[in-house]
Amino acid sequence: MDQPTAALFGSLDVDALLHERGTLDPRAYVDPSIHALEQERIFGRSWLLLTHESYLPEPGRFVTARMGEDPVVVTRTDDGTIAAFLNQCRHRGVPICRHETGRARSFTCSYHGWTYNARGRLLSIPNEARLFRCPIDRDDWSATPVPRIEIRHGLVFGCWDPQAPTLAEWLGDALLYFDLAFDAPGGTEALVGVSRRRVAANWKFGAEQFSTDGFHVSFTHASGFAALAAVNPQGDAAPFDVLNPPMTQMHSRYGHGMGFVHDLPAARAQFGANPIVGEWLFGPRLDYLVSKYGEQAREIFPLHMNFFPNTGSLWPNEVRVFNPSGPTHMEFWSWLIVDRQAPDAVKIAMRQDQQRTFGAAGIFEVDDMHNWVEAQRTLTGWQTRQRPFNVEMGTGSAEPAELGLEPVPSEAGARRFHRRWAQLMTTEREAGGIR
Amino acid sequence: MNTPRSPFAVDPALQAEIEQFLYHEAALLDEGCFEQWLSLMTPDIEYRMPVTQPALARGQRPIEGTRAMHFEDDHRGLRARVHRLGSKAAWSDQPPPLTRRSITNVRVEPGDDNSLRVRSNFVLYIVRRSAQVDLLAGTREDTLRRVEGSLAIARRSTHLDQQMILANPLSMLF
Repeated sequence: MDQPTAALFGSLDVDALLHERGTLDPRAYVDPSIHALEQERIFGRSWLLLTHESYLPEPGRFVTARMGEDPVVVTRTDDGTIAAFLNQCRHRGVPICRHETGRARSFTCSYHGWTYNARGRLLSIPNEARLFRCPIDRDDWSATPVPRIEIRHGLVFGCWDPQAPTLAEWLGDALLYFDLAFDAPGGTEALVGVSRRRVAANWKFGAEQFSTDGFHVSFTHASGFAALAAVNPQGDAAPFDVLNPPMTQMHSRYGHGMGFVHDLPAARAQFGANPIVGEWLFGPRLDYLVSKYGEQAREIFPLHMNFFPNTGSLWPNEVRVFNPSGPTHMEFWSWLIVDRQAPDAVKIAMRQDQQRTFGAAGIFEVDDMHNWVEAQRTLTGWQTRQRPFNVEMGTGSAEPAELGLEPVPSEAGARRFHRRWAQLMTTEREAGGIR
Repeated sequence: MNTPRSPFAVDPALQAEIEQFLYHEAALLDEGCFEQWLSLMTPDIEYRMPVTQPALARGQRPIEGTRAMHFEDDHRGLRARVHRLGSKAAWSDQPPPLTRRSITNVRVEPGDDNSLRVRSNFVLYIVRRSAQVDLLAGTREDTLRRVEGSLAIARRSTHLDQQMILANPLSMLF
């Protein structure tokens, strides 16, 4: 943290924000110095979702994305690989690319015309010899590259830390669950159009809920379930039972967390899902997963999940990033992912199911966003930041050291998320390659 | 969006009738009369809002593929939304936000078989809990049909002029 910020806001003991018992200092959601430190120590070295591969179908295609608050350009290069670089001209800092998507062989800064190739390498400077009269080294003055890129099941991830573990190692004990959530016969494709929302709440409200929270469903989403039951002949199953929910929670010491439902077909009916989607998911797709991952694939259907720090997903077809936008806002970007081999009618039905439930205007989604915004707004007070939030649910039972599996309700996933967050926040970035 | 077309000569009485219909519809939403609003939809209503595409540089084309949607409802889907908005547990709308819709630039062209293609612009002003004020603007393409003498909406496609939605939660009807 830079000195002026520290002096202005005092030096918060980040490690003490999350108490051993499972309480959380709410300043984690509002403090500007914490937000600044997150950019360096969380988003500066975590694996972050950039886009889906299908947005870069051929060489020359690009999209812009964000890694925390840092803007990047993601490209398909001439050799077919994907590259990314910081969207900032090295000369005077103007964004090299102002478009969200398109096709380009090179990128020219609008200010003085510095031009970069699809890997961000500096190609030319107008009138360089006449104007500069000093050598401008192409390696030294290229756009800052994102040193690590990995693609897993079509999802493109980037990481700023050259020493970082591989994406698979980063996912660690959650890797199998990631694979079961996103692998599909023939791969996946993203529908055209990223649903972007700017929400007046700290990014951790979203990431934490997606890690752990199956128990808000019966209360927050009461109106949504009632609405589906009212119009849907399959939607009249018993409402989600908060005290005995038919779910298991998985929580990872690497900060990932998710909840999976035991009887997914029944749960999907309750969400009003189109039966033809289930016929695909529990037919050809499940056959493929069982052949690749074994019989365990029949019992693991992650419903909500967050891969640390901010890649959230709702099975089977939505993935989102909760990007910080200042301490009090998040920008979240949501992609709708469909199985490439699924019949068109199934793809359309997946889209319809998703927009009705967890799209930007989804009858469940709107109540989630509202909760986060109201919590954040309340934290503008001083008294409202003085006493901790409770994250103790389920602490009566021991948490396994490695992979945690336990019936919800429990906030073990949230505790894992916040502990991982505190671990990274209190480790110097120079340490590198954090595991 | 489509290129604006040259003006169509429309019977002023028809133009006035359609404008009055759209104003009435907007007032029903502003007043929270959602059931009555729903009664203006035909049983085969197609109600859509595609995710707004990013602006592209001149000469650029978007990647091909199936478009993502913010709304894609049939009559049953709209019934679910209206049912939810009527619930005391629809937390996003408790207390109900103040909304004010202004409908303008109503352009009518005759369609086939008793249907009319009507395009209009809207500005939607929303106040939540006195603390959050949002403004949304966009355009709509409607197909109106006469049902037993009265106008009804058979198809609505809404395009928001925001690629990044700022007016969250998006719990309103359009």
